[in-house]
Amino acid sequence: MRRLGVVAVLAVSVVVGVPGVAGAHGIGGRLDLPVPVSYFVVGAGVVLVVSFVALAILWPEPRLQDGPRHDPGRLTVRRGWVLPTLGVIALLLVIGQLVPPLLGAVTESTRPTIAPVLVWVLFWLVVPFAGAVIGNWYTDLNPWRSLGRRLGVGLGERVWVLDRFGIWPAAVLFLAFTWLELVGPDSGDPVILATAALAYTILLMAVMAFAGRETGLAVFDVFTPYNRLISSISPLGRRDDGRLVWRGWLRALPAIPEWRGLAAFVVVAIGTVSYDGASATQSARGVLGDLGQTTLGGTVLLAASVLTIGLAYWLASWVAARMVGGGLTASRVASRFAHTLVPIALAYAVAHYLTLIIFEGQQLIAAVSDPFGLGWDLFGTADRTVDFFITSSEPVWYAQVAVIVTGHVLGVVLAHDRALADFGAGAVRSQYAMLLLMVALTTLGLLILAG
Amino acid sequence: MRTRIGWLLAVVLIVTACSGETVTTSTTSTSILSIVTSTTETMTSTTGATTTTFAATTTTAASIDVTVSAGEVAGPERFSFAIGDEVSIWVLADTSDEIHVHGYDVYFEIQPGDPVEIAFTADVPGIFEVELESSHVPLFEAEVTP
Repeated sequence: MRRLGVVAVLAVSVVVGVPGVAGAHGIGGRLDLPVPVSYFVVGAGVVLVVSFVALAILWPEPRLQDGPRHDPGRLTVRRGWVLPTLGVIALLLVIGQLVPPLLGAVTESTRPTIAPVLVWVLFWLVVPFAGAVIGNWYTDLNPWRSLGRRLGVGLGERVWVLDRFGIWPAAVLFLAFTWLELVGPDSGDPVILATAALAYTILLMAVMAFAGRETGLAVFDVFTPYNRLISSISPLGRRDDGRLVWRGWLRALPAIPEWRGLAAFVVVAIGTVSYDGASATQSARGVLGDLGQTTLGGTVLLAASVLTIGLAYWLASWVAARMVGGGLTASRVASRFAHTLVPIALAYAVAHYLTLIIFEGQQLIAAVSDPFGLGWDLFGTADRTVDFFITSSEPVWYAQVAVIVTGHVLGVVLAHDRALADFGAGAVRSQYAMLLLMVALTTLGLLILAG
Repeated sequence: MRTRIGWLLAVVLIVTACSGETVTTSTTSTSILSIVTSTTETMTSTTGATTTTFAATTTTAASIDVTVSAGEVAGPERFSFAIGDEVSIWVLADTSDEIHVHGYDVYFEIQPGDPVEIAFTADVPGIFEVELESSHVPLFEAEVTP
């Protein structure tokens, strides 16, 4: 408790003493060209055809519901110190952005500091996306777990906190985080990022101290469930003894515990990316005009996007529940099928942020040489600019459409399997509701890309 | 299960392949629901109350594309170019600031009443934000299509 008090006092004094900073711009400023009509038509066509074909030929018995197979792999990846150290260094680099202004160092540089790239590209995009391939490496990278461990915080687990609140707190914080990214006045400002990171760290420390380290992180840390969900798509997982195992395709997703707020969390993921993509389209600009550009307008629209997706999912759940009958509630269906939307959420995010990673991600090379924007050149790369010729538009369009279609296919497969397990072969008609929702979501995703 | 997933993938591939001929890499990307069509308007600037004389500047272009007065931007929201085009957009503002073209990362200083030509070669495709750097006022977007 005393350590927490010290951290809190330091934090307050820092926040109070921070002077204004010259606007350092950060990530963004470049949008993708809209996907041409032909790509959209092909993508949507494939989606529709696949959905109908899938209904006809997919298996009649559930096959994915038994949880991950843990075939012993030959590769044992020990829990080392490298990833945790990297995670903590990254966190310190972000929070450390508060130091130069405090010391009165004024930056002449117009280059972005390392904070925006670290937060909005590496931490927010690259880590989860890589996890979808290699498994959940965030559990090792998590700087708050490392800090908590080092400071001896949260040794007793109050599991009832997870039972009672589920991941609702994480879902709310998720929304706040994306608000900062998409609507907040200056998401590239290192001081704003640093302050937010510091506040978040203090919050997590307090939560871990109360609820226990793992419980606290599971309930309040946005990135813990996010990475858990996304990496459940990966066929690679880790057994309790640390051994990396092949767990079979898609098997980890149905095994995700049905925490309270799971559906809300996935809805926030889809709704926020939808807002980001939709607000950049020409049609949205035309309709909303200047309203959409204000902070208040953006906030309202972000909330509306999330609510709309939530409503659509609730409706699909309700219809499915009604068709099955027998006292099944919409809420239960929503919880049972939340994991089936995860591939679609990932597809949305990858399609939308692919070029951000490819282009803005390159800023990392320059930023490591001058992490605080003070004019340093530690590795000689400080003047490296972004190479926009790394890829042309066409491969990006192909990738975006391919990813969205793949996400859809995976979602359909998962929903079919879960419907078989829950509704039985007789009531399999009820999965049409979810299928229709997925077609709608995927088409929306394609429309946003094309608009 | 593998056979069925295999069939599913085969269907996906076949459908995509069959429609392959219709996938053209168009030189202009038509956005499917575009309502706003970008036009470059010729505007004559109203220098009303200010005393800076327009005639004294050395601009040969008679048309100002974008004006900023009291934080309000008047002008098209988006200018479209093809790859390789020489961009030339004239901006007039009533504040002194720096105009930043994102992506291309070029800066142009602007003084009150002094029109500035935003000039660069559009060799990178995409949609790029152009804004007044210090005041965070977005001016317009430059769309460069392959």
